[in-house]
Amino acid sequence: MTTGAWIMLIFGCVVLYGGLVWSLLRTKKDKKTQL
Amino acid sequence: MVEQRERWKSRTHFLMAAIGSAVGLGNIWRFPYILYANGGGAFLIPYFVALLTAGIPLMMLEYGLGIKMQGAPHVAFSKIKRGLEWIGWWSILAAFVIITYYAVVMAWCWNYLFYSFTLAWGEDAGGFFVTKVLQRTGGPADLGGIPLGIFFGLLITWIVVYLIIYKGIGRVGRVVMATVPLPIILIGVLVVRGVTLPGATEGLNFYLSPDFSKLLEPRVWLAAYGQVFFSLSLAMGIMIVYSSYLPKNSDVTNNAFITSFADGGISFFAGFAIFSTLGYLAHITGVDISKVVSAGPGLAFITIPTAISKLPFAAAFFGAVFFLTLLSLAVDSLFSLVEADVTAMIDKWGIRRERATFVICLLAFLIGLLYTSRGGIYWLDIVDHWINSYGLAAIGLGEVIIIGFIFGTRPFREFINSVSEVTVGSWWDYMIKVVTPIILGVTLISSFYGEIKRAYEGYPLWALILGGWAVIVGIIIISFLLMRAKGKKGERK
Repeated sequence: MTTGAWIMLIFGCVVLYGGLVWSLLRTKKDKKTQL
Repeated sequence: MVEQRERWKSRTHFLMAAIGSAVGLGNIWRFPYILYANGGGAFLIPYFVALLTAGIPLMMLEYGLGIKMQGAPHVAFSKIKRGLEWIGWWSILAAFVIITYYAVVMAWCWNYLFYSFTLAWGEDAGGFFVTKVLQRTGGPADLGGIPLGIFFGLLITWIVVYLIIYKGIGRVGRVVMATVPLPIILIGVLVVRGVTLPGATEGLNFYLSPDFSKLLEPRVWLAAYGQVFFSLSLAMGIMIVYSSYLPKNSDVTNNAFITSFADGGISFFAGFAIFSTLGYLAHITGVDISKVVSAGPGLAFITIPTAISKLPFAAAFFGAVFFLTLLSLAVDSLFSLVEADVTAMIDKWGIRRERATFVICLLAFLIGLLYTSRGGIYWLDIVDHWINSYGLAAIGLGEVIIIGFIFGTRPFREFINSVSEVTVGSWWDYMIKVVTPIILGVTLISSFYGEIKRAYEGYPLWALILGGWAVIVGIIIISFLLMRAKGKKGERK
């Protein structure tokens, strides 16, 4: 793959999967009671 | 006696159901193409901006409405202002129109799942799709009969949806624990197969190589906002209904982040399966990759089957995996739309869930027969275009205007911050009051301008009026009638 494609691949992974992991790590409420 | 509203068994069930609803066929057949056509990897920048400035704020709005108002969209809007109930019905009816044809696309997928075992499309996948599967007539005026294969596919689809929905949100929660991870695993299988094929690198370069000059074109930004808006199942009442089954103190903002990032992440991942396969097809046929790139049903039922036929080994297996992926992606989007309609009926008239589910499924099946006919593909195309361009964008605009200027963003934001794990600042107010209305307004105007400039896909005017404008006007009229209709005892009027 070209360097540009690799850079955008890494960018996409960081933004989308990083964003998902960031939000999952912020879950504090109990899964059942929501409290 | 106060009625007890059904509840999700856990937050995970709710999140999986919301992700399953957002992740549908568009993630595999629309996002990769939109990314390629709008600057390749560079498109990720406007996409991410659109996600943060419109997609996630709107998702927070819908989750917030469902959790705060504890009812379907018509209940939520009527609690804000009595005369606004019809806007909720508009989204419910738009969802109903969508299920009537979305199920037909699933019927095609069922057929192709069986065809894939023998690679029945042979060397001419395009001809097979048009003449053998759809048996397409010459135009929308000639409906012809109904091909039996699609008829049975539609019947199976509705039986499956009925069985998932009729027992309530508890069963939906258990089903999505299987139907959401399944397509992700299957896409993983397709990615591994795709990237190990000759020519895959060429395809991935096509997918991801950035063309930053495209970022100067307004249409690229509009495409990013459009992709985010239509991919997240917004404005169809689904997210309001799903979140209305959460307790009143449930998180809003973080659930919106999780759903939106998961949707984007799965779209991005699916692009690797699609473009590596397209790279292989270009390599094996010796044509330029730009000649094989396509989107929508053309990609799923013609281009990918063509590539699958040319796989070096286990072509039938990968064909079955691909169509099983489509089916598993589509099913939870379809039943989430049905759930929105069923919940609206229960909340309005207090009828039993089994009965509401049966009525909706039967009605949608009967109307869907129009799209299964030999000329049905034309009507499906017209109705889909109008619902997306005018139905959903207008509801989205209505939602942000109601919260932004009638309810007020500040009290709404104070509510969502009071229950959420991640608090949002005044930036959210600007997104709801300024950015999203402008983007949706521009989208509506540009779609309308396109309609005036030329007839959509060259269809005759009478067909566009009947399948397009009449459907939109009909939805608005019925929305008002439903607002006026007598509801269950105790319904706020």
